[in-house]
Amino acid sequence: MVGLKRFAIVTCASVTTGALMISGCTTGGNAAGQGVDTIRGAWMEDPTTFDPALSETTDDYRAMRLAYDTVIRRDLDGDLIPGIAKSWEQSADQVTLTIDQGHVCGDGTPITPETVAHSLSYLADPETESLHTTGIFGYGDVKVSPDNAAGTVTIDLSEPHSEVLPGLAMPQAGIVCPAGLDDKEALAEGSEPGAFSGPYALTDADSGVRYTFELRDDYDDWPEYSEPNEGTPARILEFVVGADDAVANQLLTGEVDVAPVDSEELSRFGGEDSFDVVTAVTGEYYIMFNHNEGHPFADETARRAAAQVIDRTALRDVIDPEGDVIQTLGDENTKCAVDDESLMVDQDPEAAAKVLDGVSVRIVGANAIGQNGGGSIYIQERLANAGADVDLTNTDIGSWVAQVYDEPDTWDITLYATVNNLGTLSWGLSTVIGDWYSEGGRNVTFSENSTASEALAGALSAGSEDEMCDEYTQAQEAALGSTDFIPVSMVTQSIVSRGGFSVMTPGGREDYTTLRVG
Amino acid sequence: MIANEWTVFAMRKAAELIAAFFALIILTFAIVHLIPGDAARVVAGIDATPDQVAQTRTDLGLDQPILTQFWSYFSGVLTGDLGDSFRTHQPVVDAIASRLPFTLSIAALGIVITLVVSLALGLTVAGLTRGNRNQWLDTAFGWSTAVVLALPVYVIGAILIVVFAVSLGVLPAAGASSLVSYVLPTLAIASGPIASMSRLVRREAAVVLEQDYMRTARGWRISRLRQHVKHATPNLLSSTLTLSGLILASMIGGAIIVEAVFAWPGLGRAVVDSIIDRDYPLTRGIILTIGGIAIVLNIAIDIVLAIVDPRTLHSGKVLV
Repeated sequence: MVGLKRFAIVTCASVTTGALMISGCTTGGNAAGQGVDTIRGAWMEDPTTFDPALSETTDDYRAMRLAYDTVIRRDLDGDLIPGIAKSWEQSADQVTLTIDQGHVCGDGTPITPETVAHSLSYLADPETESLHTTGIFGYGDVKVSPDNAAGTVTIDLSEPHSEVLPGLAMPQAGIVCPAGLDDKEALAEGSEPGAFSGPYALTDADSGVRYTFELRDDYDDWPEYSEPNEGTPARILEFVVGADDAVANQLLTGEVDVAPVDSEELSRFGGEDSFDVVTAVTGEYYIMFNHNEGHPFADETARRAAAQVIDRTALRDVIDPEGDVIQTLGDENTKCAVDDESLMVDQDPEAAAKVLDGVSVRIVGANAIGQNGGGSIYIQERLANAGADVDLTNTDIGSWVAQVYDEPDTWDITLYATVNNLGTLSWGLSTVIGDWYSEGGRNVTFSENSTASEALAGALSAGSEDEMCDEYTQAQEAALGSTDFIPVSMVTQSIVSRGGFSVMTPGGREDYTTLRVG
Repeated sequence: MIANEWTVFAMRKAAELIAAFFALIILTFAIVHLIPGDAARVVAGIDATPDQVAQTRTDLGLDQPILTQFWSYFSGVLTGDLGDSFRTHQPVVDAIASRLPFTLSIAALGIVITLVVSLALGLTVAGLTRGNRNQWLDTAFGWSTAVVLALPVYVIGAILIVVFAVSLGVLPAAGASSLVSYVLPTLAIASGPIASMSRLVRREAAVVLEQDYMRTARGWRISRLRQHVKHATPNLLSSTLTLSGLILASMIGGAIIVEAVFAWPGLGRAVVDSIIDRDYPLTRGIILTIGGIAIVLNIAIDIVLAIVDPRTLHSGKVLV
């Protein structure tokens, strides 16, 4: 019996000692503040590519911004400021960029007008099959011509497009240096350091685990924002992958320095002086109606009735409490966005009930919008309260996208969210007005609002900013006047940083080149 | 005669192995096609035009007849080529190779801890409660293991994180950045199996400790520790090995939840991401790998059991 007790005691003691020994180890936290040369962040998934033209996910864009500079950047208020180009001129069908001398690639090659032209030609080439070509250059042919003597690059468009400049400020339009264009496979893998034109070079990629970037020794081309970016750029940036469910804990334990955090978790940092929270916007939430014949919301009266029962502020609180409620598909940083609440339909549940009572409505929703698809559930409740017979399908993003785009007969209404890297009105508006998706456009609602569509086309082919804004105003007023869609709020991403680290959001957008220590 | 029994046994195991793998290949091919949504649309991106979606479908081979797709997959598996990830274009074999060690390491550590702790705990409790002594210990053991068994692994993981990472700050909350990162995921994955296996060991040990040869050992005044380690433990091996094999297989599959809670970069998290991304080749490859490991483990346990206890050569367990 004594032997057995001793065995039990020894076992317990061993376990306790082991636990204490382990406890004695630190968690490897990064000491915050001055003297630290590494910032540890978090990404949701592995980047799919390091080729800016072929990038398509949020984490792709984060990586592209670090590794590739763009010819134009956005200031903190969203205005365009110089990047690789020091100035520019724009007409309806031509943009001329004057390239700033002194920028160099990761392998020391100077970035010349020819370098820029080759990179933009690759982006515009239909054979590249970039998803971003039409957003940046429009739907016509594109010719990019360098003039090394004049130090300029000229972009000629066969069809006018007024949003080339904001397009060129997107990370997807990052300038790829010749070494990358010469070896597309290495470019996609991020294994050719000479391809990089941005401040950071990818030095280690451990798929599913971590990506490490190192500040280029020869880089000194930081954008000149209207307010100085205090602190020192980190020499090393490390991003762990797939930690989105655990990242709040990791921030609290000091394992991560800066990371995007879900709005539901932000209260954990509310009372902590040692954390800063900045909010970036990534797009817009809005309600789309299926206008196709035979669907209940083909009728404008039914769309107005839906707007009369859906409280946009309440819906915002369900899906993204940090986002501002919007009156169109953009906020104050979006050029030409209207901010006129009189364009919104007033709440009137009683009037709505007279229209919606007994109407069959099919909602297709993404369970990622609001907790467990709370946004679509809210819409279901409101329409059902008005007497509609509502059928809700809340599904994952992949199924939702496929259903909205490729099975238009199966849904009547959906809560939509853009990823608006352009930061322009057209990105959202063209999904609800203008040419139909099935006919080569982007409009997936089958709306037929000729006034709004013509004004949108006019804005995209405008030769001046004033003309563009006049046309955009007409387009927004016409679309909102017939309740073609219901704007809800901006899509936000809150970024939490530990004390001693900071990040800025130029134009309201996430940009990890602004990460600083101290 | 004995050699003949073993030959028959080996042939049966080989046949089971081949049949199970073939079924697994068919299952993994079929299962991804049950995932709703259009992989080509998801891979092409939300902003892709109909032409781009169609081109993506062609590029991925999804426009081919289903039998052609199956043959491509089947012949690839036979040659060790699981295709390329739809999303990252990385060879699936490479993606699995980079993640498998993380999953296997916590599963292997988990089973070792489970075996050591369960045997020690079960034997100790059985010894201390033999002959209706220390009934309070028996009750406490039963209740505490029942509570642990009732807790889902994600709750146990969350409790471990709150206590050891967030409150005490002595262990990392997530990730696989250092050796200490293994502690919490391993404890989380092993806690349930420890509870179930220690109950089994305690029950089996209670029977073994009443056997004549154990009474003889006690009469010879052999130390308790030696009695238990040398004489009792070998007689518990058959049941514990059987259960540990099943537990190890379930740990590898069950790592999905633990890896999500602890942001562990293993196969479990990757398979969830791949399903969401409609990355068919990666989903198939990971399920095939996890299923393949489970099949091999089960057959390996049958073989070990047959060696340890030749009577199982004729048992229903072996001659399935």
